[in-house]
Amino acid sequence: MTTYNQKITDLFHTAKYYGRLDSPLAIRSAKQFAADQDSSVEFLLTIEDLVITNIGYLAKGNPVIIACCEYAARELHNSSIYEMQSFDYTFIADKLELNNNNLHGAILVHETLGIILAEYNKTETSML
Amino acid sequence: MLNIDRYFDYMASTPMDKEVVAAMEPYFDYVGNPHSHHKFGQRGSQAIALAQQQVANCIGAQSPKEIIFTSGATEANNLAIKGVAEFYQHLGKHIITTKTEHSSVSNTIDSLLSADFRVSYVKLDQDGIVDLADLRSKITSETILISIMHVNSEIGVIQPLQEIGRIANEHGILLHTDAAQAVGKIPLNVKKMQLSLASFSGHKAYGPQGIGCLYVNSSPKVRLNPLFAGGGQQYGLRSGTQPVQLIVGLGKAFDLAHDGQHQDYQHAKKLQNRLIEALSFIDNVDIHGSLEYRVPHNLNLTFKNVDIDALLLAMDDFALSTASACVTTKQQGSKVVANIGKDIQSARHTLRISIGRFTTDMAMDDFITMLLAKVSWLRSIAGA
Repeated sequence: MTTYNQKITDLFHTAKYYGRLDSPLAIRSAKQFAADQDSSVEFLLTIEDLVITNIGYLAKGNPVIIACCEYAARELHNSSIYEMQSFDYTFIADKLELNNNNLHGAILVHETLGIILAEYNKTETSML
Repeated sequence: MLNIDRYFDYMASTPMDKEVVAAMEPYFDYVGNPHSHHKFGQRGSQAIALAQQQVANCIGAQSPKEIIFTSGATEANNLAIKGVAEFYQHLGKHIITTKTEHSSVSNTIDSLLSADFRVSYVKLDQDGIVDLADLRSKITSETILISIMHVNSEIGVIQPLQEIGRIANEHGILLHTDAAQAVGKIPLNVKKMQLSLASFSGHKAYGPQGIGCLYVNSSPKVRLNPLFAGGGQQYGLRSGTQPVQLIVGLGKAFDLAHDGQHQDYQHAKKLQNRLIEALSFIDNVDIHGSLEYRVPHNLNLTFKNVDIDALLLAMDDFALSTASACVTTKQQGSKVVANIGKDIQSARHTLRISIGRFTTDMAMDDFITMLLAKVSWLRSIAGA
């Protein structure tokens, strides 16, 4: 069995933000697969007045991927969209003390959130 | 303190039976060399002789002298394969095996390729059972050895060794089996199966770690080159002072395995049935290997949409494994599951559950409850 650091283990065992959102508001979402197609991450967000008012994820993969999703969800819930912009994989890796073998989880989360952010910026700009 | 009720990894290693520990205890402070002729030495050699007899009785050997003690099944496999290859290479350099052997067999055979040996792999059906017609077709005039595991250490299937033995005997080819996972699980008789060589391990049969043995048929006599030089102990096949305490433990373990095999089988069967019934309530579960020709002490599974590392961490209170304790890599997954025609995702995410003599009904019920809950939880996270 692979061993994981305490931060990964704790986030994994106490995961609570997983699942689809049951929200009347428009949900923004994106799904990304890992290169081997074995793992995937999907984030679902509602954004009101530049604030992430609700967030959820679906993660198929190892404990690192689930822990990275959970960490991102906890950090970003009730945060502004601007904070999400600085939420890159190096930040996650640093906070969760990921070694090089486990960076894939942080990268997958970063890429998935990046798609939502890009889409959000595009639609919001076009509305203006 | 670890709780034995959470141990579901018996095929990696079994706990020592208390009766084995009790049998070894008088020898923990053993003084002397069992190869010495004085009384101190004789006390050890007598204990070893009893253990040889106990092992011989358990496996149906004709004589206790057919038992050579080794450091474990890995050494026994090496001694059998390299010993035969070196001694009989003048008759041919062809070996037949399967792609689902333990690494101590497959890597040993691979090591002979540099000495111009050839290896052929027998086809397995989707249940992991050897195709006997294909085995016959692979035999050539150069074939000197067939090596096929008796009970597979990952998926628990039982190979038809009696039929394989008949084929080997018809062609005058030596037959070796790694029977480490068979002792105490199913009836064993090396003579009926016409085995030339069979490898065994102490710690797969409720005995101590660090000890195993090789059965070497004496009639017709199988000749082997030893792996290393030394004082010529054990008929020149395995030099080195024999560890009396460990050998006593192995002998007692095999004695218990012989006497309790039927009871252990029935116990494991009851628990396995309970587990299989519980699994019927989960969708998309793939059980690897024949359900008919397998030991009841093992189930090897893949749960669709469940990452095996996540499941193992979710159930980290329990001792479980993904495949053979000493082989698998994450990328390749289980070579056994991959070689019985399952896809790479199945091979990567296999769960091996193995139970034994000390697994209680209550422990199995707790395990089932936890397994069902965690599979469901991980599928919720995956949105499956």
